[in-house]
Amino acid sequence: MKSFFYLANFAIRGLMRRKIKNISIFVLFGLIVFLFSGIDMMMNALHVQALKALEVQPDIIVQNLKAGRQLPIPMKDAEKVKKIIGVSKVVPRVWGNYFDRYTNANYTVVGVSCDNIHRESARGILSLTRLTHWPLKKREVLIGEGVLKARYLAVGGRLQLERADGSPINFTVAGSFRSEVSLWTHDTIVMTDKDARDLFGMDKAMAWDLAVFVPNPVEVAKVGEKIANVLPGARLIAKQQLVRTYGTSYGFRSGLMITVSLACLLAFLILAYDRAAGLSREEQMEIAILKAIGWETRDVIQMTMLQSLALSLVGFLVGFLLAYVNVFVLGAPVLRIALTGWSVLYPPHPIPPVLDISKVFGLMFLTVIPYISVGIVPVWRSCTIDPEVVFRR
Amino acid sequence: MKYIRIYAAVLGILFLLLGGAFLHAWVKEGIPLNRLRAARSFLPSGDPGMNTSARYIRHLALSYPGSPFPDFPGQSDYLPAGMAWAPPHFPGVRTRIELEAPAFEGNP
Repeated sequence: MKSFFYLANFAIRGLMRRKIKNISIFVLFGLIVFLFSGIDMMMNALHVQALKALEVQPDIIVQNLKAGRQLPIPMKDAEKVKKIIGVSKVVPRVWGNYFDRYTNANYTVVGVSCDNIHRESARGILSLTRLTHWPLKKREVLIGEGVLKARYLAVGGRLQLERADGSPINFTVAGSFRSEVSLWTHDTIVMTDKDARDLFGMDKAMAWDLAVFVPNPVEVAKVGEKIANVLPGARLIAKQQLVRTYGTSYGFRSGLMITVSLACLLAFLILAYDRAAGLSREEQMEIAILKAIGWETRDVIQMTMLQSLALSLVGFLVGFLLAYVNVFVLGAPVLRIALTGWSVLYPPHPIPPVLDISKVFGLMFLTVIPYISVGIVPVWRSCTIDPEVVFRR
Repeated sequence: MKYIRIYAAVLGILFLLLGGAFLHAWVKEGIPLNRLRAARSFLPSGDPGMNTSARYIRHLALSYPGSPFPDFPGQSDYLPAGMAWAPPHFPGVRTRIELEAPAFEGNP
């Protein structure tokens, strides 16, 4: 064991003899790990938050389609769906996207039937918002932080929106969402059901879609089949479909960026191999001296591997930690735009962090092991040269 | 043995910082699910701002300027990946057109 520590000490001293070269390799290695781990952390965190939000979504969403385009669904269809065994609740939803021409932003306007919300949920709502009372009254809105900032509003202020015919409706800002839910509510405006219908010009007998709740997850597929029989032509979106779609979507985006970054990793490994293969006169002399004083080839290779491990391990940890700070403390400003897409109203807060130890080791395996491996063959080839030949050069 | 000691100290600090990162992630894990349930009625879409116009790799319930439906016949997808995936399966419900091959009429 003691001899191993002496060998490690000698290996690290060897690194210090060529500071500039080793520092440049350390910086490059750290940069590549920074890129890879930043992408992976960001995607993983976004995926986890999306799945979290999907947990509270209805089990099936029913939409009315005509010629492949979505139209409002009659409320009487909700009664038909309610009668299906297995369905615990059907909520006709009135919601939509509102384009604000003053800020060029899209808001998500949600109409809520306050009577349908239980006391427990009402308490929960009050804890997530800065509301002083619930339910909302007529012409009162609850808005996300993004809307507050975009329209320079404060609680108690006036928000003016326009109907489809251009006529204005004035609302009073009763409260705003807290920042811990801003990822989902940053661009949201919540109002009463009646106000939402007034804003969108939606008839009382219609809704935008139906939220169907099925308590037993095993029954979701069968209930969906029955809904399709009762409402042929309707589009059914199951929560599981969305879970898979998000998995695909996030996987596609991160995979695309990692594939591009893979080219950087390959270039770095080629550089590392080239560095190991093209040993300088000084390095060749060093190996020759070690061989001459009795070191075996495997000792020299062991020393080289220790040098690579020492350099790459520190580079990996520094790169990984910097990526963590960049993504979860600073909010990854550049990476976020590339991975999440463009949006006028996007929450500025960093995403809640998600770290998985298996990913840390996986990334370590992907970067550190190849770097250690590329140096073995060139060093072995140098060791096979007779030391006397090197001395005589 | 000076160098190995310095290296071990640096490595120790870095591993401590890594542990700190795990602790930070555990503390700041975000809103717990049971509290988020209260906002269920306000969240018509679970989409945390993902924006892409590809058909089947975005939230199916979102209406958006870059919607999954073409604006004119023969319009190509904005994002090629939209054509790389077929609509996801929904057990019990037909989401794809399936054509049955006609019965073979000829000598076997």
